[in-house]
Parts: sequence; structure tokens; C-alpha cells
Amino acid sequence: MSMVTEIAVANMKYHKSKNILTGIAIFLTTLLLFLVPTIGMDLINCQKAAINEVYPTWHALYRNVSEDTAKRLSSHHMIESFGLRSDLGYIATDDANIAMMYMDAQAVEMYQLKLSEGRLPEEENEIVLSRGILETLSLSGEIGDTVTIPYQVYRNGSLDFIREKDFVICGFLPDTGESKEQKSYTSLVAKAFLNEEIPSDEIGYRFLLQIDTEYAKDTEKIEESIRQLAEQFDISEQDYRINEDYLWANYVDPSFIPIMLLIMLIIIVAGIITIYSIYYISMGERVQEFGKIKAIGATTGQLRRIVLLEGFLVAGIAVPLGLLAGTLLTKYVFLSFFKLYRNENMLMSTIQGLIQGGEVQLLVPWLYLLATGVAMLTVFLSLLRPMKIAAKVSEIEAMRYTGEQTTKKSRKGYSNITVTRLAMIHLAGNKKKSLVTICSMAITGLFFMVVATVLSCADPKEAADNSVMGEYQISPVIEFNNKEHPELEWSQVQKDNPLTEELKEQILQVDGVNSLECYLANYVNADAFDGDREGIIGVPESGRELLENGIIEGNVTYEELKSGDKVIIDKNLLYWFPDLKIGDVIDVSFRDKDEECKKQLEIAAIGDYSLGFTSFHYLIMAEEGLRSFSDHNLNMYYRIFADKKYDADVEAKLKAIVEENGRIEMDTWKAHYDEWNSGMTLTRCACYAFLGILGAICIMNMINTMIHSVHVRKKEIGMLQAVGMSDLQLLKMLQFEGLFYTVGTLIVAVGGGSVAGYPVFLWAKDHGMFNIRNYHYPLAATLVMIAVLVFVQVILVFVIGKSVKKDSLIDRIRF
Amino acid sequence: MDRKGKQKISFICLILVGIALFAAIFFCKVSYEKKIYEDQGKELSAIYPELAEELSENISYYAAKSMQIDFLIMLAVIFLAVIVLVGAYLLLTSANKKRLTEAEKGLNFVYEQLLSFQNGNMDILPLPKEISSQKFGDVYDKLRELGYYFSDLKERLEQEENSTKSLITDISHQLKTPLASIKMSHELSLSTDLSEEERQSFLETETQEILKMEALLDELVKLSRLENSMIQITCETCSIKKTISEAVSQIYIKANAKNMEICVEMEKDVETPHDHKWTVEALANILENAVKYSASGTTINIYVSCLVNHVVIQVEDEGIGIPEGEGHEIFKRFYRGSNAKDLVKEGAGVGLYLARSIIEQQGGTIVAKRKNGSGTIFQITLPLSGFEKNKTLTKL
Amino acid sequence: MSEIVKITDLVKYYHVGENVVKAVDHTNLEIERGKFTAIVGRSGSGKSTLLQIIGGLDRPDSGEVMIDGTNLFKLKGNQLAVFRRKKIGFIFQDYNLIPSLNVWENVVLPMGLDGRKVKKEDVLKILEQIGLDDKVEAMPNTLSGGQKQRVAIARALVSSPAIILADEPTGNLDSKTELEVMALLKKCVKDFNQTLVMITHDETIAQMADVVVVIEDGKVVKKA
Repeated sequence: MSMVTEIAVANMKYHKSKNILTGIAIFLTTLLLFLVPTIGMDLINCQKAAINEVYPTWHALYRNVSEDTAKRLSSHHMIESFGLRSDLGYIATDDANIAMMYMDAQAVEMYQLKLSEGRLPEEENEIVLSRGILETLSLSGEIGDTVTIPYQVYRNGSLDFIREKDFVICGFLPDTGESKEQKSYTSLVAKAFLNEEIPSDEIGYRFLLQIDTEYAKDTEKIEESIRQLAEQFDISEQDYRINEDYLWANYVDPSFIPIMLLIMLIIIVAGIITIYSIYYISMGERVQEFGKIKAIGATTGQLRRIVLLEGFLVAGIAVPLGLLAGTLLTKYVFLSFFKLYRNENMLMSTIQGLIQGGEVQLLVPWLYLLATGVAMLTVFLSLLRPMKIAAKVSEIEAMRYTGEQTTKKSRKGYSNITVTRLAMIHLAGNKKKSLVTICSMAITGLFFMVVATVLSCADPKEAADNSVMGEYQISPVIEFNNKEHPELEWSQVQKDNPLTEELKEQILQVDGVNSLECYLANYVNADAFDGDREGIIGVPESGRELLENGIIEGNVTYEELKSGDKVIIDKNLLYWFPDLKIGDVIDVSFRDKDEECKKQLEIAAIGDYSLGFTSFHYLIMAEEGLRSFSDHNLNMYYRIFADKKYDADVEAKLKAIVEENGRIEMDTWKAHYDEWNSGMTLTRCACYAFLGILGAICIMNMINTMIHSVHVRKKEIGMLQAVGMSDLQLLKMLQFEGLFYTVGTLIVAVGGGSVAGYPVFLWAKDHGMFNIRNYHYPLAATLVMIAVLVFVQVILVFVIGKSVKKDSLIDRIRF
Repeated sequence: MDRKGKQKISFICLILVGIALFAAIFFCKVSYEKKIYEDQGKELSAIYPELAEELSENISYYAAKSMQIDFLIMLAVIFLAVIVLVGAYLLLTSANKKRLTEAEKGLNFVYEQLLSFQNGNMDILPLPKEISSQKFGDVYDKLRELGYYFSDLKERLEQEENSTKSLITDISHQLKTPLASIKMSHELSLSTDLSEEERQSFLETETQEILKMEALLDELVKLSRLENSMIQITCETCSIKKTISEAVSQIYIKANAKNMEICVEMEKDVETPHDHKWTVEALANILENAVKYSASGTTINIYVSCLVNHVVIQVEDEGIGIPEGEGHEIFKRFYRGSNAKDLVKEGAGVGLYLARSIIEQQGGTIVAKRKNGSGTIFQITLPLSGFEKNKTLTKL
Repeated sequence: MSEIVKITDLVKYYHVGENVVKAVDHTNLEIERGKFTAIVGRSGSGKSTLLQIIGGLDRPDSGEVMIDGTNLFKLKGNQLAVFRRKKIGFIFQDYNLIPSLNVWENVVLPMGLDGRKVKKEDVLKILEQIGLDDKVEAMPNTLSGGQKQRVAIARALVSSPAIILADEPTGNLDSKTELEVMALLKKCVKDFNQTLVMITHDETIAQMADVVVVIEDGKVVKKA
């Protein structure tokens, strides 16, 4: 072992308490540096894996592509691979939904379809079915068998009459549980059949494509290329779809890396500040040692190496421990996080399946390297300055080094000295040190406050309140553009609306139900909405206040909205159609009595309403106004207000009513609450855990500052005691100093955090994060933070005071 | 900046210039190619105006592709060039380094040689074989000459020391003779068979002894008066120079008799509050001691300097000095230093005690230090009254 | 009662490994009021330990120390601290000034800790006497060694303690400054009629003392 190493090892042992603190700080930093990207990666990887499992692999599809265009597209240099699909129609049966389509081999692969047996159809009379289809059609057969299949073909946008044809089965597709449950299957036919059924100039292909990744490397670029291509080939915006989920899962989202980097940066900065200040604060006494070593003959380079080596030795112990803890936490805690999700989401269940099956690699080897590297870098960066100080030490100066060289030659003083003044003088004399400590602690505090604000605003109760008005909501079952069920079109449903007065009476008779409000709705199409359908909601008299209070721009009264030609638009609509403004008149068309009617609506105001109020109907009108659209019963929602937010009894009774009716469906507050709650718990736990570790790093900092402000001043305190300071006075002085740090930190953190929290809340609200609508001050979190800091400080001073008393006065003066 | 650093920098500059040159050439090439592609694009879109947009995008894609490859080639060329240059540089520096290590070995040899000189070993170490440089040969020769010079010097010093020692023995022998004669004269004067004349001369010698005794008694009287507070120390602001000169003049004759010189050095005269008469007495006592216990022909130096709020009078003699361990005893009443008794018989050990009492009563201090070699330094401080706001004084 | 400090059968042993260092070995000593006593001894003779025990900074293994009629080690915790700041002034070899306080604050510190009202004129008088009245607002590390020690002397004097204990006060100073500081200390002790106990290994310095106590191996061997 070289002398330098020996000294570094000896130093490490000698400054054990300091190095333990440093070690803990490095440990926590490493833990965070490892956990944050690992969990981030894991969440993403799981989702990606699930998506790759479930989603098709094409980047985009262009609809209604003619054969000619398809050919031209296929030779474009931007496209790496492509597939063709064309939907012919359906196999005619009442029991299930069996699509009949043509796909080439590439398309089949892109849809992640795998034939369980056989091959793709080639001849005009060949078909690929699934066992489920055969069962549904009550047929039987194996590959090579001929079956007779009735089918309907799309012609000019609608289904043709049923025809029958004999097909030879050439392959089977597997049935998934889902497809069986939903009774929705796919059958594949050959291109020859397609050509036979539909004239080639009428065939609309779906062109599935993958962009050349050399050309576009991230999601944003890929999407841009897709749009560019569409534009070049005159494919309208409605006619293409981007597989955003798949893109997100497989290509780098440029916005993801900066966020990750930012979080890592915060950790690194917190780590650097802490480790640096731990070293910095103990530099005073260390400098004397370095001076002695230098006097013996160490070169500056050796001194640098001693400091660096000591730091790295500590890191050498702390970093592996941090990684180990991180590994354990990931393995056990991460899994339990997922169990918190009680959501019956397909993606989630896939993820759970994947994790349990061990198909997703939770621990990424290069993240270990990254965490180690960054942790070492953190240590190195925080050692730079101590190294510089150690190298610059002059032998003589070292003996006199008192930490900060007070450049001040003189200072206006107090004419009398009290204990508090002593503390103040010390703090003022160590401004930089005090500031470093307060800043490093306050930064975390601030961060804590901001996140706590968002989290406190993200109340699942409130989110649920905002998603549903009242406790239960009953609406008729409606469906749009389903040719098989034309009776479920809203224009048909309204003719015989199940939301009748009798139903209302029936509901109101249920025990526990207080009141019921009826909201009307209707749907209109307009060019202003790019031909899309938008819903209008008719607000009853009881909702007048909500309606008027929600207006954020413009001015209109409930009375004016009764006319039926004025409307408020929800802010969310502006997100899709930013050109809309107050005073615009929209030409809308809607169906009434099987006729196409036209009307003009004037945008009277813009409002900001909760989803529970609008239920995604972004045009808002008074009840009377909407009635002018049609004579039919336009009742859309019965919003039921009950005694309790959730009462199993009431729900069961209402459910019975719904089931009995058969044509209505129910949405409950409880369902939304459960959904939000499970989602938020995860986020909340993760956020608080992250903040907790960050906070621990900073408390480390405070402990260090306090210990060292005493340790370094051992001699000074000894002197003070020699001239007559009593133990009580000493404790008082230390307590005052500690309080200064704590109060300083709290003022910055709580003050700044409260101020900074609000704009963040506004931002979160604006972006619909967690369905946040109301500002809540994070009182509990603030109080906890204050309590923890004050508690830690008081305990700390007490313990330190005890330890000071333990040493004899002489030792300290001679120190 | 050292030469090596400069060399490094110029080397790096060279590489950078080379890279820049390459880059410039490639830039020309690339921009020319780009122009060709643009021309092609223009022409094609003129021919097929309906495809203009598509074509321009297509061409720009391929242009970018070709640029990419150009860039890669450029990187490869630069990479290779840098490797070649760095390799060449390393080869050169390793040759340089070899020469440097040789020089360092030479320096090391010189260092070792000097170290052995310092330790008193004047032998010359053998020249290490690996060192072949001509210049170092010259250095080695000079070093050898130096070694001879040193050993010569050492021998001469030893001789001188021995001669001094024998000289001291001689002097003490010389001093013993007159002492024996006094003793004899007294004994002789007591014997009966002496002529009147002879007896008279013996008696005269004795009278002198008696006179000395009287002087001693005088001192004792002063002491007892001081002890009994019969002397009033009254501080009056007056010149310290005057006080010192008076003390010197009191002792001047005695010093002159012993052919001793008294030098007084003084930055400037200071007015301090002190009792003139008694301070003169105290100083005179110290000076008398200095004269008494110094060999004739020596010098007594008096320095006066100012501290922040004290004036220091420093009396240096070249006398017998104070033996170790007797430092704080000499100011005691009737204390006589062990070697003082041997040297001068008369004296009661009162003078310094008196001086100390006088000085301390005025708020001053007096200490005696052994001087290197022989002799004593007495340091007397007296407070300066009415602090002078003199900046030069404030600095210690 | 002519003696201000009375030490009876004082013992303090240190254990260094297996060896026992008899720092103070059954020592008896009386220190006279109003006198300048120098305790002289080689380094390691136990003189520092003796002074620290007299000052109440360290506790003896056995024996008694009476200061101004109070048995020092019958006092408990804070009482000792309070007694110390009222009755004992310290002057240390390395000055022990508080670096973050300026000269004035350092000087008035013992009074401040004692909760006494600072009489500005009195403090100024002392500072003037000591020649630091123009450095009242200076920070300690801008001062020279001699100036620092003079501040320490002022600090010891200002609370007019019963006894001033000085531990090699000129150990870190050059000979000229040493003379200056000692002359000043002696004069101040005389002017303010203080009792001064100083330890030193320097014979020359000891010459200034009224009483010299020689200590060897933890025992008083000579008192004159």
C-alpha cells in the first residue's frame, strides 16, 4: 500500500463520525440515483413490454389508400416496411362480430397475429378462421375442409346484403379470452377474393407502415414524417392514425430524457451540496492535518490524492450498499407498488403478468453502472473544492486556518455580550457556511412543499367529485354508427327515452336518495368541429349557479341561454379547436325525427367546467334552450344525490332498477373514487418516498453542520467555558444557532414553497393533472415538515451538548 | 510557462490547425456537392412541377445522406491523422524523457554530495557511471574542489579553538599572582621584624582594602534605608537620557581605570516619569557590576528602545555571566554568584537587589539574561507615562 | 488570611497505557494574596496540570483546593462555572481569543457571560492602559501575537477576579514582545492589586516574580 493510500485509510478511520455521515449521504444519493431511473425505467419498460405484447407494431396507418397510391408509398425512402390491410365486411351472424379482412403477410406480422395452424390464404376461396368463429357459426372443420360462410361486404360505406360462399380453411388464428368475451373475431381472406368482390378502383387499403428509424429517431420526428408523408400523398388528417402508444413504447420520447435528467440533476445537486458541505465544514481542522503532512514533505498532488482517495474509499463502501438497498427496494417494493393498482385495466394486468412471469428485466445492468458513475462523479465534484483547499494549504497557514478567512479587519461590535449575541456573531461570522446549509436544506424543503401542494390538491375524493356529479348517474345506453344496432343511435333512443318520469319516481323512492337532477343532451355536427360530432348539455334550473359561476370569459345569463341559439363552450373544446372565440356563430346540423335539421349557435361565453358537470359535452345550454332542438325526450343524465357518498344498499337497489330496465346504464362516484385512489396512491407513495430520501440527505446535512459547528469550535467552546460559560448557557447558544438554521430553512421552504406551489397548482390544473380543480394548502405536510425539522434539531443539540460535556475542558482547550 | 508546456501547446495548435484545414477542405467538398444536389432539384422540379415538393424533400434526404457519409469519412481521416501525430509526439517525448532522467540523476548525485558535506563528511563520492554528459563532468570537478576547500577550513577552525583555550588558562594564572602578593603583604605587615617603611607600604595596601570595605558598607546603608521605606521614590517626568548619562558618568572613572569602554545607543530621548536620583543609583549599580565582573578592555553596551508603553534599557557586558540556575537568585539580598565570589572578593551582593527594588517600585521590571558566549544582559523596563499616540510605537 | 490559594495534599495521576504519570503528587502549596507567584519547572513536571486544577478546569484525584475561602471541588457543575467567571481570570499561551468576536467583545465576554453590566469607562481605561484603545473593533486574527496576548490580559483583568492564572503567557512570543507583555502584566497586576500565578519554564521570566515555586515530578521542591 502506498503512503498516500495509507494516510487516506488512516484519515478515514480517524474522522469516523464525519465519514459515516458522508457515507450515509453518499448511500442515500446512490440509492436515489439508482432508484429513480430504475423505477422510471421499470415503469416504462413494463408498459412498453405490455404494449409490445398487445399493440400492433405499425407506426401509422393510412386509411382509404388506393392501390396506386399504395404502390407509390411503398417505394418512398422514408418507409422501412409496410403492410396492407383491407376490411371487406363481416361474416353475417347475430351472435358475434366477425370481421372479414384481407391482410398481407407483413400486415399480419404488424398486427402481431400468429396463425396457430396453417398458412395465410392465397387462393380466392381460401380463408383463415378461428375455432371461436366456427363455434359461433356452429360449423366444424379442419384445415383443407370446405365450409359455407355467409358474409356481408362493405360497399360505398355501408354493408351489402348477405351472401354465401364456400371457403376452404387454410389456417387458424388463435382465440384470445378477450375476443371470446367480447365476441369479436377476425377472419382473413385472400387478395384474390378482395379483387373479386370489389372493383380495384374502389378498394380502400389500410396502409400500415414503419418509418425508417435512421431517418427519424424519436417519436416526434417519426410523427412528423408520418404527417409529411400523408401530406405528400394527399391523405387527409382523418385518414391516418398514428400508433402513439407503440411509438412511445419503442422510440425515445424526447421529452422523457430531460425530465429524467432533471430529476437526476436535482439528486446530484442535493448530493453535491450535502457531501461538499460535510467536507467543507470539517475543512478547518483537516487543513491543519494537511499542513502537517505537507510540512513533512507531501506534494500538492499527493494531498489532492489523499482527499480524493478518502472520499472514494467512503464512496467505495457506501455506493455498493446503496446499490444493494436499491436492488432490494426495486425487487420487493416496486412489485408491491403494482399490487396497489386494483384497477382492472388490461395493460396493468398484462404488466402484472409480465412481472410475475419475470419477462421484464426489472434491474437493468447499465443503470448500476450509471448510478455508480454518477455517484462517483457527485463525490468527485463535491471533493473538488476540498481538494483545492488541501492543495493550497501552506504549512504555516495550516496551523492557523480557522475555516473561513475573515477578510474583515474589524467589525462594529456589541457593547455587551450575551449568549444570544454570541450565537448571532458566530452565525454572522460564518455567513457562507450558514447560507450553504440553509440553502441546501431549503431547496429540498421547497421541492417538498411544491410536490406536497400538488399532491394535496390531487385528492381522489375531489377528483371523483369532479368526474361525477352527485353520487350516481344514470343514462340511456347509446351507441353511434353501429349498423348492426341502429336502434342504439341517439336519434332513435330519444324517440323512446328510457329516462322517464316513472323511472325518476322509482329512483326517488329508493331509501337514501335525496334528490335527482335531470340533464339533457343532444349531439350536433358542424364544420367548425371539422365535421365531428359534439355534445350539447342542457342544464336544468338547479344547475344555474354552477353554469354561471363556471364562465371564465364572456358574459351570459342562464335566461339568455334558454333561447336555444346561444351556447357556452367549455375550455376543453378550445384545446381541439383553438380558433373558436366568443361571438362566433356556428352552423350546426343534427337529426330530429329522422330528418337532418340545421341551426345556428352563437358562442356566448367560454367556461371552465368539471367533467362531472359536462360529461364530455363541451357545448352548454339551458334546459329550455335544448328542448327547442327536438320535441323528443332529450333526458340524458339522471344525476342522483344520495345521503352518503357510497352506500352499498342504495347502489344495489339502483343497480336492480338499471338491470330491470335493460336500456340504461349507471356510473357511480365510488367507481371513480376507486380509480383515482388507486392511481394516486402509487404516485403519492413514489413522490413522498423520493422526497423522503431527498429530505434524509438534507437532514444529514443539518446534522453535519450542527456537529461540526460544535466539533470545530470545540476549542472555542472550551475557551468560552474557561472564561465562565455555564453548560446551560452553552446549550442555549447551540440551541439558538440550530434554531437559526431550522427557522431559516423553514422560512425559505415554507414561504417559498407556498408561493411556488400555487403556480405549479395552476399548471397542473391547466393540464388536467389528477383532475385537480381546487387549491388546497398542504397543511399536514407543512406541519409534518416543521415538526420533523424542529424535532431533529432540538434532539441534535441535546445530544451534541451531552457529548461536549463528556470531553474534559482541558482536552478541548489543548485540542 | 515552462518550455515543455509551450511545446505541448504548439503541438496541440498544430493538430488543431491540421484538423481545421481538413475540415475546411471537406466543407468545400460538401458545400459543392450540396450545390449540385440543389441544381438537380431545381432542374427536376422544373420538369415535374407537380412533384416539386416531393422531389425537394427526396433530394434533400439523399443530400443529407451523402453529407453524413462525407462527414464520417472526414472524422475517420482526422482520427487517423491525430493518432499518427500523437504517436509521433509520444516517440519524441520518450526520447526527451530519457535525457531528462539522466539530468535528474546528475542532480541527485549533486544533492547527495551536498548532503554529505552538510553532515561534515568532506569525502568525494565516486561519479556514477550512467552519467555521460560533458557538462556534468565540469560540475563534478567543481564539486571536488569545494570538498577540498571545506576540509581545509575545518582543520584551521579546530586549531584556533585550541589556542583560545590555552589562552584562558594563561590569563587565570596571571591573575592569581597579584592576589597572592596582597595576601602576602598583609601577612608580612603583621610580622615583627619589619622596617617602618616596609610596614608602611603593607599598611597602605591594607588601607585600600579598608576603603573598599567602606564603599561596601555604604551600599548596605542605602539598602537598609530602602527597605525601611526611608527613601521616597518620587516620580517626575524627565529625560531618560539624562538619567542614563548621569549613571554612566558615576561609573566612568572605574571603567576607565579598567580601560573599559561604555557605549550608549538610543533611538531617541524619551521623557518618562521616574525618580531621577534613585534610578541613577540603580543603573549605576548594574553598571558597576558590569565593570566589576568584566575583564579590562571589554565594552559595556547600553541600548535604549521603546516598546508600546514601556522603555527598555538594556545593559550588555562581556563579563563573567550568571551561572545556570542562579537566574532568579541574583536579585536576592546578599546573594553573590558562585563565580563572582571567586573573581572579586569585595561586594556584599546588595547592588542588584537594590536596583530591582528601585525599578519595581516605579512599576518597572528588571531581568538578567545569559548572553551567548560570556556576559550578561540586564533588561530594565520602565513604564512610559501618558501614552504617546505614536503609530510607529504601537507596532510591536 | 494572607493566602488566597491553599492547596492541600493534591493528587492527579494520568494513565498513559500501563504507565502512571504523576502529574501532581501530594502537593501542598499556599499562594499569597497580592503577590506575583511564578511556578517554574521543566515541561512535563506537572506545572500545567497544577494550574489547571487551581483554575477549576480539571478535577484532581484527591486533595483540596481552597480559593478565597471556597473549596473549589465542592462546587457542582454550573456553580463551578459561575465561580470561575467571577473569581478567576485566565491567560493562556495561545491567547484563546474567540476568533469571531472583536477585541472589545472578547474583553467584555466574561462579564457578559456573568450577566454583569459593562461599565464602558472602566473597560476603556484598561484597554488604554494596555495600549489597545485604538483597536477596539479589530478582529483577533488581524492582531500580532503581542497584541493578542494583551487583549487576553485585558480580558483577565476586566472582571477584576480574585486571582489571575497565566499559563506560559509569553510562550509564543519573541523576546522583545515577551518583555513588553511581561512588563505590562506585572505593572497591571501591581496597579490593580491583583494576585497573579504564572507558570513558565523560562528562568528569566521567573526573575520578575515575587515568589518562585519550583516543581519537579509533580512535587514542590523549592519555594523562594
